Amino acid sequence: MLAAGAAVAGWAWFEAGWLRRRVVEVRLDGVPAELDGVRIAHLSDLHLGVPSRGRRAVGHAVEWVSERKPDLVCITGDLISRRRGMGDLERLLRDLGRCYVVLGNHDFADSRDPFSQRVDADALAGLEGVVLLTDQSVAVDLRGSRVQIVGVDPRSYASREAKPESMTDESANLRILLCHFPGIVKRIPGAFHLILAGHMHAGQIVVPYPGGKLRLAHLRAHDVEGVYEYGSTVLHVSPGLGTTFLPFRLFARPEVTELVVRSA
Amino acid sequence: MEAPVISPDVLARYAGDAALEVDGISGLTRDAAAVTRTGSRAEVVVHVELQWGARSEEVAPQVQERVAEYLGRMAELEVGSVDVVVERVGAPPGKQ
Repeated sequence: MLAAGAAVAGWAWFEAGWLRRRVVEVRLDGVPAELDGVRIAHLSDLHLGVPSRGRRAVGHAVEWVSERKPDLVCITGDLISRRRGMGDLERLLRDLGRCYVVLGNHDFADSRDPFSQRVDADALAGLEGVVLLTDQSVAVDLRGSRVQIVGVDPRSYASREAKPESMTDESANLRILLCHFPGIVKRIPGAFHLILAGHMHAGQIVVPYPGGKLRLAHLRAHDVEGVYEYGSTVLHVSPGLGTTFLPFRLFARPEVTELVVRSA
Repeated sequence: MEAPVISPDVLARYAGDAALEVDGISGLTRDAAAVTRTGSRAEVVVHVELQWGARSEEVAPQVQERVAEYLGRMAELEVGSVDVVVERVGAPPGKQ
């Protein structure tokens, strides 16, 4: 019994560093043909600063994204778990080049992990190439089209004060929302073409049983990984790269995703 | 590391895009491209329209090379074969 437990733990330790790289097409209603084929890299839940093979997954993910040179790079929060991950984060972000970033609950030490430490948001915002969005909006020109990216701050999400729908720019041909929490989609149906989120870790430790899966990190949650449609809005929930609590992943591999926009 | 997870539709699009970059190819026909994948190996078929005046024996090898290179780079697949099917020739200039 003990040996079996050790074997499972050994596997789960290994799986935490076993990165999956995925390319997915997302069909977005109302996005013009000029933006067809735009590639968006989505990374999430890095959780740097703790000993975990998740760090290996993060390194490989950054390498892959840098090689592919997508049109946009987005990171949806939980960048660090401990303050000592800051230096590492800065190096990785430099390798990624320009990226659009929102923070997560762990970045404000708001988690069940009692040793969680806050991110240095000022240092992060000051980094070249990093566009940190805390309830802010930015417009980007892509192939002569206007793309809007709005980012939700995890604190105003938690206090239910976040109103990203009030920031939508109707003249933008593609409106993207970054929010650490996938639950945002239910508060603002239809305001954005695409919502990128993380937080769920695909369950992180998952016990399959006949007819279903028990996702131990978020027992009652739905929308835990992949692409979901909410009317005219497409939600992508990243399985994330790192680990929280335990440095394990079981049936919940870390993933970096490249989303390819298809105009519909 | 294993190759990235990419659906057959996306792989076919990669193959089609790569073929279109070759001088002498004026379009893809209705069947466009298909990629059959076994592990990290891929077999490709592309259906093309040849530009008026282009020579298929010169253009086809370039298509094969470009498609294999692109699938290798973007999907980390080893391309076993690329069949280039010339389905039609484009209209001559002035007669479109």
